[in-house]
Amino acid sequence: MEVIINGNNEAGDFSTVIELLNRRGLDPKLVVVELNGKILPSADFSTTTLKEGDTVEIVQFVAGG
Amino acid sequence: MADSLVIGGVELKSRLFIGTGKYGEDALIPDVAAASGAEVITVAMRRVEKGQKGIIGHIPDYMRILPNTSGARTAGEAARLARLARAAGCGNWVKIEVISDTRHLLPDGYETAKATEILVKEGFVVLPYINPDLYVARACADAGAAAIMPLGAPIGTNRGLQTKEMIAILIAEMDLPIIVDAGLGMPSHACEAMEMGAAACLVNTAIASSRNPVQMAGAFRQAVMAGREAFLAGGGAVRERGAGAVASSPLTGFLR
Amino acid sequence: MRQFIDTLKEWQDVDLVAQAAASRPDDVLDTLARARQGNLRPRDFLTLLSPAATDMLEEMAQVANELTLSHFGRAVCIFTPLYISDICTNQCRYCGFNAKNKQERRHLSVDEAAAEAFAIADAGFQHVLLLTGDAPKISSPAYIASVAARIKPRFASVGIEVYSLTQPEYEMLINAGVDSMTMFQETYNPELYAWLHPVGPKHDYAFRLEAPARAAAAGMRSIGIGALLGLDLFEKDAFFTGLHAWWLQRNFPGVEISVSVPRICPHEGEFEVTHGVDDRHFVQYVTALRCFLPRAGLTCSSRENAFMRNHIVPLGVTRVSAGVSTAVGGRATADLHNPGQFEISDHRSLEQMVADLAANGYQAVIKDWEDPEPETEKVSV
Repeated sequence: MEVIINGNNEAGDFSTVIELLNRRGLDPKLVVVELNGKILPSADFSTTTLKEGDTVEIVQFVAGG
Repeated sequence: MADSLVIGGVELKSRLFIGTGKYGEDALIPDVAAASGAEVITVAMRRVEKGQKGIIGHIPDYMRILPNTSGARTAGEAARLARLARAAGCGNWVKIEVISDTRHLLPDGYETAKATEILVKEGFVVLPYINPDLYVARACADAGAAAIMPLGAPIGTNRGLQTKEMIAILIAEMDLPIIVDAGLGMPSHACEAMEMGAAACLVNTAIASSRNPVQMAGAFRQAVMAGREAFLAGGGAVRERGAGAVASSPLTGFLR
Repeated sequence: MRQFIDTLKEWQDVDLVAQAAASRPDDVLDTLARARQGNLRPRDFLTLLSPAATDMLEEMAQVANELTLSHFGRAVCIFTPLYISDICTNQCRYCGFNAKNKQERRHLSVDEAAAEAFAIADAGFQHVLLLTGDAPKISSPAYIASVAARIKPRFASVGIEVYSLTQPEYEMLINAGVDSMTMFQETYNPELYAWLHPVGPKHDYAFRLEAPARAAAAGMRSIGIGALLGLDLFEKDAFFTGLHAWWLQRNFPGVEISVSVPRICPHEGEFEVTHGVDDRHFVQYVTALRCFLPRAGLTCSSRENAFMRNHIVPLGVTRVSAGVSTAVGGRATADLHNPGQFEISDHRSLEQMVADLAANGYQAVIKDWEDPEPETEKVSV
């Protein structure tokens, strides 16, 4: 399956969003996920599965003024 | 009567806001925050990159997060960033920063006013960052902004209140709190802004780029407090030499 | 819509006279120093109206003169009033048009009003102010609009000083070519106001109070306000007038706000004038207004004599009338029987006013503004 994550094409076996975050070592409480342009509530991380061609943005608070 | 700053229904005791950008080590932030006395701290929102940790872990729990929309070049992009920030669960405050000027980082007032309107309607507490332009300020206020954040000088320049006259006009004409943000390089700049009647100051670069950020944060804390006290006390007016002396060709001589 | 009465209510419990009396000379000097920066607030205006300030008129005048030079230079606008109807249903105790006064009244037809106006234009005026009594059925908004539309092609600016109208009525008049409106509250004291205006539509204090705001919301370009000095205590009506102008400036930033400074004559009306304003307080009022509102226009009518009007110009007055008649008719035809609204103290013609201003180093501005779209909608009566 190919999906776009943070602007990069990535191929692989993708299942749920929570699994994706775990694989990347990301704490689900500290990130916000946008799936195909819409914000995905964190309650839905474990029940939402990725599909071919999905666009995922994973963002977090970083330093800024 | 206590002197309180109320923004978006929240009473703040500190009139110094700080940022999290440009630190040599993010681990300094808790000590800087403590020394500054600040309650409000800005952050940005970015894609998670491999190996880069977020900032949230470094921010003390008692602080209120003020996410900015840095990176946005249009009202639409700012709105998207604001919604993402709110989804992170740290509150509904947002500092609108819409910049498509990479040379001076000056904000786009038109897009900022539009973003203010969009986000106020979605229930955000909106603090727009703008050039000290009275029309833009009014547009943001009419759209429901909770405060106005005019720049003292371009971001990162540390040049102080270059826009002093224009900020004074905003303070005189606007009913909203005026929070001077950007360009404050020394505590004396922040003190001066507060003496003029600003409601608060936001300082990032001056503290983060100081050789001793914790110490500088403490200095800014005192400066903001001093400026506010002076404003409340009502400073003596600057008198011209010979003020009170009557000119030799009186304008009111005809009344005798 | 925002209402001035809400701001007025904030000052209801303030003893203005006592607060003013507490000001010391140092307070006045401090306030004048800050006036140069242009950031005075209403409290500061009260300081400038204080007894302490009455003894510092030269200092007040110096600052007022500086501010006037900065914002207006040495230019003074000239206008003239045109009374087109003196039929009135009010019984205002101080007014020559009081409905109880049994004198000949005149109501000009649109043609007659136009003839008077053209005579004024022929005399060289470009800014004209139309006035009527308060008789909405006879001098209806449509009638006023018809006159305005008919005469607009000959004038750079047509203003109105008539009874209080609704916002849609002001919009209609603006479409007919009116660009300025003047409304005197007479007094901001509600009880005194009720006694002075016992009968007729003008009795409605609140409706009149918000007329300038309605006109501003309708899109009127210039708005003039004022109290009739001498009705209530000086500090009170002077303060509330300044507050009203300040409020209008803050809430309607695109509108040009002016203040007029009429003083009641001692023998005007059917009552004894107990709070008459002497020349010193008059000068104090003008200079205080200029310091408080550096960019507001200040209009001084021919209620004041030539001597006073000449000397008040450097102190902040930016608009004066000339060639004045406060009676209806008598310009196009030598047909003048009715008495005027008030006694004129300054009868100078346009030429005389221009010459006197020039002699004092001031330029008379006959035409200050022109509508970029001079084609106005024809309105039928």
